Amino acid sequence: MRKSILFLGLLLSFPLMAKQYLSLDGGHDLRGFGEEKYSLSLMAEYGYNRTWEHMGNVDVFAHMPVVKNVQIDARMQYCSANVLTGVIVLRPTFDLPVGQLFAETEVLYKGVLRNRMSDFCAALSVGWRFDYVSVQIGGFTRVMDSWDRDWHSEDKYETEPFNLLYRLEIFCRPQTNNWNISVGLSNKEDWQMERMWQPMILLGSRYDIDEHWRVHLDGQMKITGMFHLNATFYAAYLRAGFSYRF
Amino acid sequence: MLLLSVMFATCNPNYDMIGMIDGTSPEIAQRFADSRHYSDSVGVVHMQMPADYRIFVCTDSHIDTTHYGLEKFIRAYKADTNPHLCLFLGDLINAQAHFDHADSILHLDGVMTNRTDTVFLTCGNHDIYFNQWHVWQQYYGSSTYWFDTYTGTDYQTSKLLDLFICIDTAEGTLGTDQMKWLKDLLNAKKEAGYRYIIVFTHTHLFKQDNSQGHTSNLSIEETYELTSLLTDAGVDYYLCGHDHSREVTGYGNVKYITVDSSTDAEPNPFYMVMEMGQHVNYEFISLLPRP
Repeated sequence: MRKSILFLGLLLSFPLMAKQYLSLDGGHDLRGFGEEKYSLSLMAEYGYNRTWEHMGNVDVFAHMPVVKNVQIDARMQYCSANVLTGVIVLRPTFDLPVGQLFAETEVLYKGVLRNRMSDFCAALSVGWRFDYVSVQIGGFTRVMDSWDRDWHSEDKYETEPFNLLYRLEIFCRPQTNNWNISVGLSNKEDWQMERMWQPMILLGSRYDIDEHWRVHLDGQMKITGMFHLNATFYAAYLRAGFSYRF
Repeated sequence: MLLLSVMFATCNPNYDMIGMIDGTSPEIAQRFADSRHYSDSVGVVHMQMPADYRIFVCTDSHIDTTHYGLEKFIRAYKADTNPHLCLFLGDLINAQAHFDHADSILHLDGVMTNRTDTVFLTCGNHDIYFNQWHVWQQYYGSSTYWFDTYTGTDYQTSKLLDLFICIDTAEGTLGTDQMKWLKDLLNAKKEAGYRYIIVFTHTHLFKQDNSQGHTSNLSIEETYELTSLLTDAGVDYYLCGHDHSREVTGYGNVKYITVDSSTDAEPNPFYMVMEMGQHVNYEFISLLPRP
């Protein structure tokens, strides 16, 4: 009986909690997703992987809530391994009694200058975010092509028609807090979309200095061979930077 | 679904679940060093062949208690009267303690008396489960090596035919050292005058479908690097297994062929025969019916 009353009480309080949560403009992940303010972020990144080895990256993020409940994110990265990446995300959101539903259309273009090739990914996904948890699921298509492909030969480009896309992120504080730390598991991050059986471990943190300035420290690790039971470390990134919220 | 797969896998004694977090065999840098040490000690194999010959390709036999598919393949290979050689693309065994069984089938009626005979193998992820790399190495020596074919009487003065490069991708990465070795080798051999260059390994590069569930590819950064390297070096074929389902695709001027599994657990097992000559033709041959 006591449990039932508790459950009923929680159920009734959800709409109130959700209202508070949405009205406080907490943002979704640690880079401002969900915020109703324009923001610009600049970050520096150190990365290592077994193929390109050591690298330094410069990242620029723009978050644009163009109208209420519709946001556009634009991102650019230059990687010293001679790779340029550009991403655009269109994200409508839908307020629910509990949490917020969102849909993402994302296109990612990677110009792999070192290999004179491009990787183009287009993704559609839906997600549901709460204060402490965010889940996202969808699919994406990939096309890889060489810039030197001979159009008058049998040279081919490569298409991967469907890959599952997923992201689970858990936060240690409510989104409205002025600092937060998160841990995530996903096959996509800001600069790449991996095959579905190649998950990445994401770590993130932020601290809001004041109304306008925010600092970030993020990390990521990729392990290969997990799902054929011969896992080994492949890559890691560490990123630090700041955002200005207008 | 994912949770159910993981739960099922955890209960299956053939799966090395610790390997999901950290592979139990020595990692690729050590395996590459072991392989190069062995290959340097035995030297490079140069096989004399006529200009037209055959390559028998088999993969993923996953030997545990039965061996119908592998035996049928070896018997077909032995019975073929054309000049030939054989490539085995990994996952010879399914789990632990089956190398004796699998190796006895490879040796059937005198085939493959040592690694420098006519069956060339690489290791797959199942071969090195449960810290079995050193066992695999005792049997087959090296998972990273190259050999070539030539026509004529003396290698130094004869016409080169085809170059074969075996790489170890059992962990889903070539690692830094092996990638450098492959780049150096391809650069050195690029202008040597080979007719065809074939790279063979276990893990597939692309994921065009979900044919075999959770088989991992190489990471995307390594896919960029390797596809571009193979294209630039004029490699003709990349042969692999791992996925258990056939896939023939291309990137640049390289043809990527994933050969079907030959395991007895597979409803439709196949092997592949390549006819090397002025042109390359290949066909997939069923290993059915079983006895």
